[in-house]
Amino acid sequence: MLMATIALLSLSQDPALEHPVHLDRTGIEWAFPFKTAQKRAREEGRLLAIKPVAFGTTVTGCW
Amino acid sequence: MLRSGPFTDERVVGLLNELFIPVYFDLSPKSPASDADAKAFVTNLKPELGGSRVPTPPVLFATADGALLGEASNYASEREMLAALRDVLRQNSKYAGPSDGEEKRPRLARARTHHYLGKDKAAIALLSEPRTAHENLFMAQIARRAGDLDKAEKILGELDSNAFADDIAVELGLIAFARGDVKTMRVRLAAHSEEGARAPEARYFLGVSLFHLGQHAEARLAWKELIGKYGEHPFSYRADWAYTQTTDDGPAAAPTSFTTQGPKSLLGRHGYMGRKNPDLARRPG
Repeated sequence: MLMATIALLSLSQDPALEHPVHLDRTGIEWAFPFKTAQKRAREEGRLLAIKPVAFGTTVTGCW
Repeated sequence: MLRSGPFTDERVVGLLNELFIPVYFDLSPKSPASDADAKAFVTNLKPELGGSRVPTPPVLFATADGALLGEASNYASEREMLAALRDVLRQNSKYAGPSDGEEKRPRLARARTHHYLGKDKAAIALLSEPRTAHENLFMAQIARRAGDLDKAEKILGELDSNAFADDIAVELGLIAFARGDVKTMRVRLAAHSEEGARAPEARYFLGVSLFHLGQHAEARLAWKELIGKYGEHPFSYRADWAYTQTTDDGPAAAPTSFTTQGPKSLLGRHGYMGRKNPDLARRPG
């Protein structure tokens, strides 16, 4: 029980699991959080392609 | 709008995944997609995105160290987005090198990357004969996108018509669309099976053919059924866009500015998703 609680707490703290862009089905492999994306861009020698949204993404992924 | 248009193009998606690190976030600190680090980075690149009322942000192409190398409008067409991605890689080629393990990838995957970059000669050279059937199908797609429709049709005619029936149906439908022959387009696309892998694409373009044949209500029904059946899916996004831009009597009056007020689309999007859906704006024949 304790293990399950710890696991659930860990899950809820993982931003990747709560990010609305997870609903996106374009096939684009969005990287987040930004710091991770920036680190990958440095390590892999790639450019960032950043899509900022300005009107409030909802939990249903509306954007 | 990007998700309804260029982000449904396999070449755009392929380039973003293979040669960029794509990042999405919301500028609003209240959004579940907010990211303070991303916002600080972006407002350093474009200070006008730092206020409470900002213009619709473009897609920004930047180095990890904060050099802005290019951008593409939020309302870019597939063609414009593809050109922007290719341009920024061409002008900054040190970021366009092959990934580790490139030589271990199947040659079809490598050929696709060349095609996404607009290097069709390199793609074709990589796929020297003998080719597999899937490689030949890809060769037909390259020819279609290059406008060599006769060649595309010839290659498709040499494929196994049973094993590749659905691919042939979609490809011939798209070739007919490129020729402006929407009657043939409708017939070809209607031949795609209900459950085949490209069924959403076939249904979307079947709706487009019906729209151009003046069967607006039938077109909208096809798009609505597609969205109902497949939900969040690249061709549902395109169908959603098409649906919002039409009525049962034809094209809808287009909104002239973005608003979060008013009715939402079938997928729950805000109503304004770009000015022109190129599939509907295209004049067949």
